[in-house]
Amino acid sequence: MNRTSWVITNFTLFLLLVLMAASVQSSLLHWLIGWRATIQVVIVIFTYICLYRSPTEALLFSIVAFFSIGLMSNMLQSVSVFSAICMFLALRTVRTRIYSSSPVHFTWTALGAIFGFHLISWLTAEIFETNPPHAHVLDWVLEVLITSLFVRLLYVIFIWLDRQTKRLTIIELNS
Amino acid sequence: MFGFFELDLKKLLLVILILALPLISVNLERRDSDTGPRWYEQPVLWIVHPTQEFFSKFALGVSHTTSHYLNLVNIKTENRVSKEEVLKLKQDLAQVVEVKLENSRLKQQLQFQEESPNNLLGAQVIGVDLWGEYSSLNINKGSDHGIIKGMAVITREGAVGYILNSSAKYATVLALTDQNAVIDVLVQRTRARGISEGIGRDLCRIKYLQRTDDVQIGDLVITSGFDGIFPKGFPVGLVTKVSKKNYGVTQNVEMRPVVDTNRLEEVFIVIAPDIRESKLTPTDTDADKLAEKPSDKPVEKTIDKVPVKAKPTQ
Repeated sequence: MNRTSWVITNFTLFLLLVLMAASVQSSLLHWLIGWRATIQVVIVIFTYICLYRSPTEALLFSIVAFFSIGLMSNMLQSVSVFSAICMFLALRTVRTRIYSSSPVHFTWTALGAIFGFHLISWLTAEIFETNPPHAHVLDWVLEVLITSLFVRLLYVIFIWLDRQTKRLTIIELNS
Repeated sequence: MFGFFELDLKKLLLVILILALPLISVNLERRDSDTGPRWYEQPVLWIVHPTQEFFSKFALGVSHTTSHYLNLVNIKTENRVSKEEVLKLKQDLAQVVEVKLENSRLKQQLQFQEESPNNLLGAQVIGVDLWGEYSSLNINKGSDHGIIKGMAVITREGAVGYILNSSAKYATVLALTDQNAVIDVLVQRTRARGISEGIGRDLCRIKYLQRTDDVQIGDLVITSGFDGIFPKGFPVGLVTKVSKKNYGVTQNVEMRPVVDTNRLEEVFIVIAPDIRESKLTPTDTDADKLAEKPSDKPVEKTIDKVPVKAKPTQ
């Protein structure tokens, strides 16, 4: 396989991972946890892609992924995609200003992205929707806290996936 | 002559002595055995008995230890086997309990489906909304099963929501608590009519209730049937808050739906609603649980439904 094929494979793999994560989040994790707040694997994947991919690839991923998972929610797909693009811009800004290859940096960025996504999607819905949803800030904070327990593990999985698909991981890029 | 008998006297005496010794000892044994050991036997016995006792005790000790050890090994093995058996039995018991509960639940569902005058289709909830701000459910039945947009979704306890969209095999249900969900409702006790609208957090608001309408905390809210989607008289929720401003023609009423959408496993889709009022009411337990201040008045049954046997489409 040439480099382009590996890139496409990696892109597809992460896209499938997002869809799988969204499915698990809305079914299994919901039954297990029993709250509205859940482990936001989707946004952690999204953060990884936004931070460690080229802007074009990350933007394309954001649009495709959030358009697809928009089908799994009553949230308008346009609101979903718009929020994703806003978050993409925010994450790229973070990457430009404060950049570090450490998992700690990734963890904090991902946790910020979870809260940020909820905030942006709520604000977007508040502006554009006729019947906007109510902001459940405590649920958002709870999601951040729950997800923080799993970010490091997910980070390791992403690095492993990158290695399997011959993508240069962030660690290799920095070494 | 004596040549033939030429014997060595010493040898002869020795032979006689050897032969005589056992005889003498037999004879000695038979004499005064009840007087105890003799003086020459004492030293031997002093040595022999304690030694015997020591070795006997040692042998017994070893034997006991060995048998204890073997028993322990056996007990350990038996214990392990017993533990495994107990664990397996516990698992079996848990499964049996789960199956019993499921069976009971499904029996109730089936009974409800059979007794309902509406044409109902059972479906399983396979997922909830991805984002917590919205309230929708995904079910494992779709347009292939005759489900179309707008159909009412109910459970034995009350109304859940309605079909938002459906694909071939799956459908999305908009729960009553979603901010986009609206249905026509009646306060059962006073027949005051309003529109229920979801406000999230498992609550709904009843809009357009006249200021003069008699609504109390704990009142049961039912479907009016005017929307042509829900069967009439189906429980929706219990009033949890009533407030009136100093001005205006309406009052603010909040209710908690009788069905908790977060814990739903099975639902029914009303394929063809019977517009006559249903006699289904929430149980006392539901009422106690859901109402912050339940009404003292008993929940009334209104119009008896006609016992039409439902024929599920599946």
